[in-house]
Amino acid sequence: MKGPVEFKGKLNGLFMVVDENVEFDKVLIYLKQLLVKKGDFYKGTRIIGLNGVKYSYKQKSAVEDVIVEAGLYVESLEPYDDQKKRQKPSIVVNEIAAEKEDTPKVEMPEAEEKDPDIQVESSDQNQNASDVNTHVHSMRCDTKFVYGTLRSGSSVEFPGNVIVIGDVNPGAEIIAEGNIVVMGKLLGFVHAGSAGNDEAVVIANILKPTQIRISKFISVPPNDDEATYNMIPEKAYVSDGLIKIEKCH
Amino acid sequence: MGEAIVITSGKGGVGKTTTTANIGAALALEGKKVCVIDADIGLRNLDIVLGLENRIVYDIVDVVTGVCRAKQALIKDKRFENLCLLPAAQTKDKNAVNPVQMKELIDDLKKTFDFVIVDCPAGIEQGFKNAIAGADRAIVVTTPEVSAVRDADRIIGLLEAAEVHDPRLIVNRLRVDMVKRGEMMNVEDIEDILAIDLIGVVPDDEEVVMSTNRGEPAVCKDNSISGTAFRNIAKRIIGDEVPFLQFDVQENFFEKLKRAFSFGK
Repeated sequence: MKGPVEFKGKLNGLFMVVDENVEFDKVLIYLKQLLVKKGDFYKGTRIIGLNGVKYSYKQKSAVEDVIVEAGLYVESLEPYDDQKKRQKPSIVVNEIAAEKEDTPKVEMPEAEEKDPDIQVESSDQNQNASDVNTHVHSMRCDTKFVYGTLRSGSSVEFPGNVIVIGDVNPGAEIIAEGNIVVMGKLLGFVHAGSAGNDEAVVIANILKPTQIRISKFISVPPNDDEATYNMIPEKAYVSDGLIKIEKCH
Repeated sequence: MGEAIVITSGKGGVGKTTTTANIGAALALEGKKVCVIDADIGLRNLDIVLGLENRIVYDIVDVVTGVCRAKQALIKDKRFENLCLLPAAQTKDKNAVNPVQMKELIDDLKKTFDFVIVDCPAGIEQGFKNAIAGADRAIVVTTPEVSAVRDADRIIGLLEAAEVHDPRLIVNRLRVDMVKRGEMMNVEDIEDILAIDLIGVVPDDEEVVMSTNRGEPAVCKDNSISGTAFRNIAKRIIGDEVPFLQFDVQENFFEKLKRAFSFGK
């Protein structure tokens, strides 16, 4: 007989298909029993997705606890997409420990940012953030390497960290759910922690982006004409609701 | 087997057509057999710059649609015996030709010419895709303006995506006096952003405007500085090592006088 939870195998792990008509508590109990019953059979495998149902952040972390307790690894509890290529060169990066309640506040980073356009955009982002604001917080995320210069018009979007070995020219954009590191000049547009991760940082050898966004915060670097191209890398991060930039030692 | 070079820029008005005409003429003066193609269908200009407007019988659309043979549409320039022009159609638009047809046409012309130079239209749409279809090499023209450099950057990205590798850069219309005053981007700034090899710098020169209006390329005149710059670019295309021109601001009599007096103070 089929239970409310099924495991399906893929090259890089298993993903779960959950019957949406069964209550969450029952699913959890069934999952616990199943993993105890099968015991060693599932031990050490990776869970790469959760399909069939939409669970809240709390529910997902409860599922994660059960799975981890049984000796499995959790890579993601987002819906697994067969079409998506998951075999990108990836390394596992430390979990970002952020146990924050998700109460998005509308905070504008700088006094000069009272532009109505930007405000609308940022509150939109807050709504999105509260929906998807889950797996960067609790789960490990992949890293994408980009080799070569990102020129005007090119765009990189990735649900994890992005590292660019080269420059990011004005007119190019990077949107990442994790951190962004540029081993070169960053002159384009970047958005780190795009799913609502306030802990995300942007690091570049020369940090002069046209606009920088971290989570729901937007900032425009000061317009100093003197090109202070000292080769000390700089880091942008969110502190007290503002994007701050400091030398990275 | 010849080589096809596309002259492109993204932004309009930076001097693609003038550059095409001058490089084409300069290569012809070097003794190479050159065919310049105007790929800007609907806004044809290259024939005017070369002064061959009144001799057009067939155009590029006639060739690709089989109305005539390529040889019939080619206009031989009487001043440079090695230079031929394949004009664009003025009454059609960019969609009259597709990249496959362009590639066939250019491959065909490469059999008889040493260099096939394609004048690309502004923009990144169909006309651009047509123009780069058969190209072996690309030359990106930009002026020392932020907007032109930004567009050139986009174009270089698109060329890379279309597997036209190793494009070269021409900085056109450089005003040496403004650069010295720090009011214009200098060549190093542009090279720094675009990160491709420079093949030439052409200074802003009234002579180019006058010769364009007359319909004869600036390279015809031995004493013009822009003509020399274009001749040097042509030599570098062939593979010769030519040092870059050193531009000095030419002072007129009054400026000299003013300087002499200020020394005295």
